[in-house]
Parts: sequence; structure tokens; C-alpha cells
Amino acid sequence: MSWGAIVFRAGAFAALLILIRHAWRIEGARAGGTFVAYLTGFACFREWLVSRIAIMKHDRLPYVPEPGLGHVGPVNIVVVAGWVFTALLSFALAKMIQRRNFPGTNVFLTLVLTALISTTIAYAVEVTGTRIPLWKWTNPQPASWLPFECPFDIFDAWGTTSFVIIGIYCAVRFRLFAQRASRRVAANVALLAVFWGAVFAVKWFGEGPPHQKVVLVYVTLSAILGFTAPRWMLGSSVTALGVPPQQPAPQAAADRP
Amino acid sequence: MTLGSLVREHWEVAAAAAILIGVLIFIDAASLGEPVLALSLLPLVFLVTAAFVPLTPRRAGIWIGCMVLLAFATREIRYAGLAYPALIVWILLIIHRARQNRA
Repeated sequence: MSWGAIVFRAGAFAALLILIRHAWRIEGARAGGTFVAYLTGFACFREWLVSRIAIMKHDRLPYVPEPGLGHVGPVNIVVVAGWVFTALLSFALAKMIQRRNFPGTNVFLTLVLTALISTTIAYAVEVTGTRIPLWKWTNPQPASWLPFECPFDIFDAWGTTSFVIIGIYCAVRFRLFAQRASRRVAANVALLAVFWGAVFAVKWFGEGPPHQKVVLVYVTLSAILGFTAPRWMLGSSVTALGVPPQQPAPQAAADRP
Repeated sequence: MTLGSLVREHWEVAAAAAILIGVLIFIDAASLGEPVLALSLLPLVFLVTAAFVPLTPRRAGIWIGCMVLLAFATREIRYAGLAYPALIVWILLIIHRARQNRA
């Protein structure tokens, strides 16, 4: 293993521990521990599922991690740690950006920002990680509009997974979508159905734009809800996220007597 | 809230982002010998900055302009693509500003 890979792993491990401490401190021991455990479980499930889908489609895995990274069956430990790290950092940064720059918006905009941040982390990590190399893409289709030959799949994989992972967490934690439990469950099932529908639609639509349009649709919908969602959809997230209420624009405030 | 107090309150987030950025720059420059790869960190740097410093549509626009200038200066048009988070944030800020004005 190259010493670049060793530095990468050491840095990522230290940063992950610091972020877990942040979740622990901000959310409390129980909620923070549950959040990290949930992220780890979901990341393991996703890794397992990606390998299962590849087997079902009689296809190769979309990416092959370096064998020395350590794995339990099809679940690669470093990749799972990467998912947890990215989700934690993206969610924390998204909340900070929102509090500072988007007062009066809600948790749905937090999800959009989380997805956006996770794509920027993924882009930087992929550019370096594939060159060390920590993993290899079996069929890389580079994004034509970005430098350094980064596979377009990362925008789909990292952005979507962060969006869905954190979306489900917020839906359960903050009781989003409805006051009645049965409606909340129905809304969460619908969210998951859209996600897995998009994943399995690859089989019919093929890789590339049609699949990614599904992703774009629900990120766009979330952005619209981020500005317009009614109070009853937001559950306890309004106070829990700490986003300040909307302030009048500077000009409007100046006009007021 | 001042930048100092924000960093103190969320020092773990600042530290984790700094470690990530520092490690990747170090590997790009020292291990791979391709410091130009560190430009791939610009989208992330923009969003980390936005978490600690207030953003306006104008500031996001300046960032987009810098990426476009970089693309023209290097004759590598794809460097303009590095502005994609700034463009999305700029659109969100414009919408947010418009809704504020209407309210």
C-alpha cells in the first residue's frame, strides 16, 4: 500500500472520530449514538445491496475497492466509514449554511444542501482516491463538464444516498410529513419507494441521464418544499434545527416607519 | 455570531473539514506529484466557507466568475464546472431573496 493511501486512511479515521464526537456533543449521547449507528447500518446495507444488485444483473460491481482496505463479506469497511463520514460532515455543514444564509427555510432545504455538499466531498475524494488507488471503477463514465475525469455516477450515488439516508433520519426523528403516525409511515414508504424505484429503474432505463433525472426530480421537489412546506409537514424540525425565522429584506426593513 | 465564536462552537466540523482538505492537498501534491488535482477541492472549499461566512448572491457570483476566469486563463473550459455548487447556492439565494422581498 502506498504511503499516500496510509495518510488518507489515517486522516479519514481521525476526522471521522472528531465528527462522531460532534454528533455526540450536539445531539447528546443517546441521540448522537443512535444517529451514528443508523448511518453505519444503512451504509453497510447499501454496500451489501450494491453487490446483490450486481449479482442479480449478472454484472460486475460498479467499483472495486482495493483488497487491502479490509472487508466483511461484500461490505468494505473503509467505504462504509466513508459514507458515515460524508453523511455526518454534509449534514453538519448543511445546517450551518442554512442557519447563516437561509433564515425562514426548513428541513427540506437542509436535505438539498446535504446532498450538494456530499457531492463536493465525493468529487474531491474520488479524484484523489482513484489515483492512489483506493478503488477502481469498472465502467467509469467521466462527467464531461468537470476536470480530472471523475465518474458521473458519484453525483448519483453520493448525493442520492446522503439525501435519502438523512431524509429518512429527519422524517423519523422530527416526525415530518404528518401529525398522524400512519400518514408519516406512508410518507416514508413513498420516499423509499421513489428511491428504490430509481435504483431498480436502471435495469429498464439503463445507466445515465434517465435514471439521474429521477434523482433531480426529487431533489428539486425538496428544494421547493424547503421554501414553501406548510408548518404541519415539518414536525419538530423547526425548533430542532435552529434555523432562525425569516427576516424582512434590508430594503423592506428600511422602508418601515 | 462572529466567525470566532462559530468556529469555537463547531470546532469539530471545522477540524474535520480542514483535515479532509489538508490530507487531500498533501496527497495530490506530495504523494501523487500532481498539485493541480487540488483544484478539485474548490467546490468543497466554497461550501465550507459558506458555513462560516455569510453568503450573498454577489459573493457567490464572484466565485462563479473566478471559476470562469480560471477556465479561460488555462484554456481548460471544464474548470468552469467547478463552480457548480456556487451556481446552485446562487440560485437558492436569489429565490430566498425574492421571497424575502415579497414578504
